[in-house]
Amino acid sequence: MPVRLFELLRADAERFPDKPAAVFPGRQSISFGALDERSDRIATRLRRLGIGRGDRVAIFHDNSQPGLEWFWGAQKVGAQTVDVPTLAGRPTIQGVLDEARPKAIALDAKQLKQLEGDDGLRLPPVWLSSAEAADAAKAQGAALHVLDEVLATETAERVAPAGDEHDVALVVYTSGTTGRPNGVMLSHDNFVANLRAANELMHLTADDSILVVVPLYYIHGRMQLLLHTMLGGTLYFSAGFQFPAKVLGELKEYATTGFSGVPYHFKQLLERSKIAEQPPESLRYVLITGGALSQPELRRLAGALPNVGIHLAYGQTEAAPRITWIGPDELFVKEGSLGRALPNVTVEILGSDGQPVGPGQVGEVVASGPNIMKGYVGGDEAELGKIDAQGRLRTGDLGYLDPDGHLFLVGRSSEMIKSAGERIFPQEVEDVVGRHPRVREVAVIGVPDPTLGEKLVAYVALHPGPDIELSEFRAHCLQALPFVRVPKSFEVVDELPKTASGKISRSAIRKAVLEGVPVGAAKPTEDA
Amino acid sequence: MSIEQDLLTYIKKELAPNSTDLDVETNLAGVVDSTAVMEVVVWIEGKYGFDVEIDDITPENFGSVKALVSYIEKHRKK
Repeated sequence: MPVRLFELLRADAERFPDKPAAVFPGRQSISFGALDERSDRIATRLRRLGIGRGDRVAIFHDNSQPGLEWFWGAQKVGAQTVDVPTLAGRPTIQGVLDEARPKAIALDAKQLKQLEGDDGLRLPPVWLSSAEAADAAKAQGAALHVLDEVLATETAERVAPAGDEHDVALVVYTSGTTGRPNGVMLSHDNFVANLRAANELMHLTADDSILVVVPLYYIHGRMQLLLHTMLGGTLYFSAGFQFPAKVLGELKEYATTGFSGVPYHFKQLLERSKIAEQPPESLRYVLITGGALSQPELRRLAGALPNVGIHLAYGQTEAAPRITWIGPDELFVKEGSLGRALPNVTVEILGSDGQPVGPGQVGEVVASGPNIMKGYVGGDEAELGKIDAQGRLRTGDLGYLDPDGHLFLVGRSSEMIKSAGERIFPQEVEDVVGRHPRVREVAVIGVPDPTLGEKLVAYVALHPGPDIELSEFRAHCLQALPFVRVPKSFEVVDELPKTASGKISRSAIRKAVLEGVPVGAAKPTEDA
Repeated sequence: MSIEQDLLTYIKKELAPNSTDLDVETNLAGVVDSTAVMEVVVWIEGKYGFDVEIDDITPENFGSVKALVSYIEKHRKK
């Protein structure tokens, strides 16, 4: 049955009006009924503002109740929500807003400081926020709609918006091979098809609940929200991953049945909490996405959590997001496998001639199915080679299928750096490093790191001048970026490798690093 | 220099030079992320010569400079 995302929330409000939809740190919670009702009031206001089908509403929030309420309100008028990564550098955020051109922005007052200064953000003309934003809205000439006022004055009407399940529902920015953000447009049916297929395998129900440690503006976070909205399960939001011992405490306190994270989260829980000595009793499954743990680490996790099913999934934002899945029954039978294609997804491996290759042969991983994106906001998905003539998603990852259809990856092509659970665009960091007066050119890549997953390393070529302490670059970056997005090391080279068209080639640098060749001498490969 | 001064200097210089208004009471949750907490742990162990226990890395002990000072004082004397 065709479904639009907001209808999932409506169904929960019918079935479980008083059950908590979300619980925030400090035990502040909101029921499905209240979330549905409050977002209906928001939708009434948005309709009054002329915001509807085809319009975009940016969500500029860390995980919070107002962030959820604005999200659902925008969904209910048929608008597309645009997730803004709050931790990204200002030029990146501005680039996202300038490209997606949202009509309105749901703005967390915590983000107001990002509007200050010469490089302060310029936001769309309609702000959905709290009274704290009044002065800043005035300064930018924006119309401010305060949540409390909207909820107090608007009526809750259940109006079905124009449009259908094929409309774009969410825009999520990710980085393909370009290093810059690409806005991935995902429809209602992209998500619903993917959620249903994933749950045919995982068999989660309304009795399941999850501790959320990732921001909702990553696809991984949105997926947890949408999955539990489909199920009628409760989301418990963690206070943050600074303190793994505290996260273990949250798992025990909230007694969630599920937990999902990237490899970094599991490594931290194993190394910096007593999860093995004091496993959370109610936990019955964990899902690892965004990269695989090594086999020894997986075994350590299984040893620490003997009564917990370990699931692993592979995907890309462009696939809304799951492509393959492997569960506890096969995880240690097919070591290193990322699983088989989801029931409604087809995975093929293409050779260099673009034709499918046989089992065991390495080629590009290509996926097709109802979950594949509608395209990029920039309309350049074909030009970038991401969607081919047959409408298939070219993941850019290299891998092979075994005779049973299990996928094994041997190389990743995305420029997106995954470090400490964060997704980082190389360009946002390069923009900052490049503003240092001594830097002539810069490339930022992620190199494998046992703790962080990938470690940010900046390769810089300098303008002539006196000797310079590399720590100066670090201090320079810390002025503009949070710690996790600051390169952990800086390497000076005479010249960075370039492509034939003169662009700096990050892939050539990464290849040189992995092969132990000096970066200055690296030659870009054909496809770089 | 006092532990308090050492910590403020270290955090302002190495972790968050943008936090000009950082003081002993500031909630470090918005200043020090999960990877920076690890650096703080290593720095404390190196500077004050004791091992930080896993269960001690909590908001109660690491939530502010003030909390860190009392944590370090308690353990350094052991």
